[in-house]
Amino acid sequence: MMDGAWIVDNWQAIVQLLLDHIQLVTLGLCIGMLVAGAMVFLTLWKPVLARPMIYVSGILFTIPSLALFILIMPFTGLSKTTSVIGLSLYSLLIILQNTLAGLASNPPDVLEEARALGYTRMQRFLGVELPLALPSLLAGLRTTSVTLVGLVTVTALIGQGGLGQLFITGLAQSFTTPVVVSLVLTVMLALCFDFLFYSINKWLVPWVR
Amino acid sequence: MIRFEAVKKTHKGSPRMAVSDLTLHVREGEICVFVGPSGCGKTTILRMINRLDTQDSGRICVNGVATDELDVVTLRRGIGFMMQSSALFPHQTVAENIGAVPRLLGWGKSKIRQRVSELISLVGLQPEFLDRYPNQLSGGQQSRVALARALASDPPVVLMDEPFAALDPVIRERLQDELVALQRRLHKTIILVTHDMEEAIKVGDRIAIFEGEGRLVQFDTPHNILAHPASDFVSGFIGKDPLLKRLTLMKVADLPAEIDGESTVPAPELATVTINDSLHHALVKILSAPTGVVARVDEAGGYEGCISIESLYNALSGSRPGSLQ
Repeated sequence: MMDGAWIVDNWQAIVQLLLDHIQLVTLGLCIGMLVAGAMVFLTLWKPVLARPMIYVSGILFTIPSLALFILIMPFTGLSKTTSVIGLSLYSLLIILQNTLAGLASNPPDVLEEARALGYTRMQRFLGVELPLALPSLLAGLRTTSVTLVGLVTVTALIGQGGLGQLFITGLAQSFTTPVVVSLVLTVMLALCFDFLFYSINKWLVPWVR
Repeated sequence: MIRFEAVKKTHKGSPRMAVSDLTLHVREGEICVFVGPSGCGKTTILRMINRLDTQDSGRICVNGVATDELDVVTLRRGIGFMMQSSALFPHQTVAENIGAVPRLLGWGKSKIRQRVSELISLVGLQPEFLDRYPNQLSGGQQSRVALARALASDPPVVLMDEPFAALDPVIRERLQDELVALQRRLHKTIILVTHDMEEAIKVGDRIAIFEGEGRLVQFDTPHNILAHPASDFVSGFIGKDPLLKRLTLMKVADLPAEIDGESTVPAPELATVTINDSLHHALVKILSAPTGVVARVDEAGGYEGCISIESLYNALSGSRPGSLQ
C-alpha cells in the first residue's frame, strides 16, 4: 500500500510542498491578524461597530470554503493571491470573533477601576483590556491556524494548496502513497501549530489559574 | 476639601432624580461616610467626585477647584479610588497593581518599587505577596491590595465605594479597625459609601444619611445622629438600639473621673475597666458585677474611681457631644 521508493524519490518536492503549505498558513494568519487588529481598533473609536462586526463575521463564516474561493477567482484568477485572500478572510473572521468576544467578556468592574484610576482610553486598551483578552485572542489564533492547515489543502483545487496537491496527485493516479503522506504531514503540521499557540499562551498568560 | 454646591442629576431614561439638589462640604482630613438604602444615589454622588458620573447641574469642587475645570485624567490620578469588588487587575502581580497609578504618573522604577514596598507593609501584608497574582489571594488580602493601590500616589482624597461589603464579618471588622488606625496616621480626606449603619458609626467622623433620590436627610457626627436623629427615616435606619450604639462609640475616658478620696488602688474585689474600653464594654462588666460597680483604671493600671450604671446614664443624658469625637 505504501510505496517507500516514491517517497525517497520525491522527498524534495514533498518538503517544498510542506514549506508552501506553511507559508500559506502563515500568510493567511498574519494578514487576518493585521486586518482583525485594525478592525478592533476601529471598534475602540466607534464601539457600536463591535456587535455588527461579530454578527457579520459569524454569517460570512458559514460560506463554504470552496464557494468562497470560486467567488474570489473571477477577480484574481488561479493564483496564489486568490488562495491567500480566501485564507486571510477566514482567519480574519475567527480571530475577530474571538478577540471581540474576549474584549466583551472582560470584567466590567476592572475596566471601571482602570477608568477611575486615571487610565486614558488607549492606556486602558493596551494595558488592561488587551492583556485580559489575550487568552481568547490566542485561542482564536490557535483555532485559526489549525483550521487554515486544513483549508490550505482545499486550495489545491485552484492550483495552489501545498500538501493538498498530493491529494490531487494521488486521486488522479489512484495511488495511495501521496495521499497518506499528505494526510500524515498535514495532521502533524496542525498539531505543531496547535502546540505552538498553546505554548505561547502558557508563556504570555501566567496569571490564569 | 470636597464641596458639593446645588448638585443635581437624573439618570438617562429614569423618571426619578438620582441626586436632588445636594449641597455638602466634606472637611479636610475627615472620614465622611455616605450611608443610605441601596438605590438612594450615594454611589452616584461618590462617582461624581472623580467624574465617573457627571452632574446635570451644580458644581463639585475638590480642594477649591471645580472638577469640570480639570482634565479628567489628571483629576482621577489625583484621587484614590477603591470599589466594592477589589477589582484588581488580574493580569498584574500585586506589586504591579499597587504601582498602577505611579506608573501612569511616570515615576521612576526605583521610586515605584520603594513606594510599593512601603505600601504593602502599611496595609499589613508580607513582602512575599508582591509577586503573587490577585487570584492567589483571599478576599481580605485583595481588599488590602486595593487599598494600597488607592493610596499609591499619596492622594489627598480617597473614595471608597462599599469597600468591605463583600468580605465576611470577621475580616470586615478587622479591616474597618485598620482603616481607622491608618487614617490616624495618614489624615486623608476619605469618603466611604456603605449601606451598613454599623460600619458608618464605626469608621465615620461624620455621617451623611441619604434617603431615596439622593436627598441628604442628616449630616452630623455619629454621636449626634444617634442622640438626635433628624427624622423617623433616620431612626429607622439606625436600628433598634441606638443607646447601645452610642455606648459603643464612647469610652470610659469620656466619663468624668470620680475619685473617692484617699484610695489609690481599686478595692480588690472589684472588676476593672481601662479608660480605653468602650462604655458598651463597661456596661457588660457592670451588669455582671455583683455590686453593680466596677473600678476604672488608667492605661498603667492606676486607680481612677468607680463606675456604676448611673455614670453611664449620666453620660447618655448629659450628652457632651463635643468631647466625644
